[in-house]
Amino acid sequence: MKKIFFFILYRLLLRPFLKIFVGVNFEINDAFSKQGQYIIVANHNSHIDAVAILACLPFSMLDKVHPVAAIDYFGKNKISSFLSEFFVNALLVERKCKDEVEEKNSKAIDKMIAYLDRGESLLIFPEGTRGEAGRHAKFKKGIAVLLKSRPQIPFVPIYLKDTGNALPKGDGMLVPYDSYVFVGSPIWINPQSSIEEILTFVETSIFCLQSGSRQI
Amino acid sequence: MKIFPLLNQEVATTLFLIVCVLIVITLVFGAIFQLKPSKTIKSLLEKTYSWWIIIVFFVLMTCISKEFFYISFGLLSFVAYRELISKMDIPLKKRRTLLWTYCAIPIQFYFAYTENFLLFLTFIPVGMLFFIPFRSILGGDSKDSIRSFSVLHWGLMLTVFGFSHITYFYSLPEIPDHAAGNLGTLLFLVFLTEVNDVFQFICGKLLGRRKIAPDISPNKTTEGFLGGLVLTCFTGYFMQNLAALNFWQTLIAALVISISGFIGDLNMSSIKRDLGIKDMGSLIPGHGGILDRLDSLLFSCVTFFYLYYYWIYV
Repeated sequence: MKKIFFFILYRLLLRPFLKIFVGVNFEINDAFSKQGQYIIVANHNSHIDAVAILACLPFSMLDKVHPVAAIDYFGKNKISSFLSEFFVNALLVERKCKDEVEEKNSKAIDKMIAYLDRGESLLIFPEGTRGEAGRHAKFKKGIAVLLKSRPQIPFVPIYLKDTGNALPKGDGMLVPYDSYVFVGSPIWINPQSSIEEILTFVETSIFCLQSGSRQI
Repeated sequence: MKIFPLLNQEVATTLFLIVCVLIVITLVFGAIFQLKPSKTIKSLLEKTYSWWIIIVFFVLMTCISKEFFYISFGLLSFVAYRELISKMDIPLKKRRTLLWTYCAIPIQFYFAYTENFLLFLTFIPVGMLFFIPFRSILGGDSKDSIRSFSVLHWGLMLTVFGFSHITYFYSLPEIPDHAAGNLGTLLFLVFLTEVNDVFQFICGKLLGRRKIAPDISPNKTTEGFLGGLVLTCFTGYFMQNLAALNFWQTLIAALVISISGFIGDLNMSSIKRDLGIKDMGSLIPGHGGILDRLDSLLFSCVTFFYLYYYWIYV
């Protein structure tokens, strides 16, 4: 039921809207269309990001992917957390505020691992925040910890270009602007590598999608 | 009830002939590709498929109803403007101004729809020229002002004001004894512009030796330009019944369309060269973005419109 609801919402309504009105160009890899369990990793500049990524998922995965979102932003009150869980399928977690707060951090990671073990897929923005348009913040460690603890699940790198210009942080007005969603092929990590190595690997595999494409 | 109420006998015949030619081309390329697959023929085949899409879109946009015609061309103009302006790196502080320039698009096409020639001609060149700095000043940020003002206004002029002339053909009063009607004139313009592109491409590939503008577009040659010119005039001669023009007028119109189409093509090439990109987008397979296809039409629709207006209505 949820799948059909999401299909109508994302594939029939939001995708054409994003494509024609907002100007999001979807460059989707064939490898992604196979069903499976993934951890989708993308850079983050705008609220459009999660919606655009959900809009390019294959039908079989539509209700399986949970964007990981900050509870302090999307779970401010009951309505907001209900809306983000109902319409975006969001998984709300505690955002690590200071780097040293290890306890909080592991609680969020545990929650994500529990979801993965149930066979669900996750969509993670490791930058942790949208930041300024066009700027890339340093990736947080959590994604590497997650990948290392479940190395059998591949990650799908997605590079989002210019979505921050269509709907930037701190401005609620949507202005049409050509942006791009580059979807890469699923990649398995080497479980022997260290957290830092995995983190750099994930980061480079996202940003090299940009240079490999036709647009610059 | 007819599906295409605006379609008339003359235009339908011409469209039928165009479709026949396209079928033959598709079959020939398809056969060559089956026998001897190569990269060149694959890209040509891809281009041919895009022509099918373009012709279907042309019929849908022009023949269903008058309202739909203005809305769909307005939408096309919107996509073209967005494609152009997104490459220009407008600062985030100016995005509210950018939003207002988008609002100018439906207004401009509404003026065309209501046949208000004066407002149609002045709204963007004069009105928006003053409105863009006005809205931008309200934002209170002076950084990149000159560049934003000029790029936004120039973008509107090129992709909205210029392109909206193509819809004004439907707003002109019908000429008595002109069987093909305004739709015929429109088809005359669009078809000649597009075949001119194709002829220039073919002549350039086959005969091209002297580069005409090596710094702007290395693919354009004098031979391609002249070959396109001659062949377009020749094609225009057979399209005489579409536009209400006599022999000499048709010839001059074809010449003007060919030359302005060529300049429009070079105009987009020089923009792309300046930005260091190959295509403006990736909307149409084999053709790049919408601006890569509309480039010559953006110029030829304006020149042909005024020429036609001068001959018929002045």
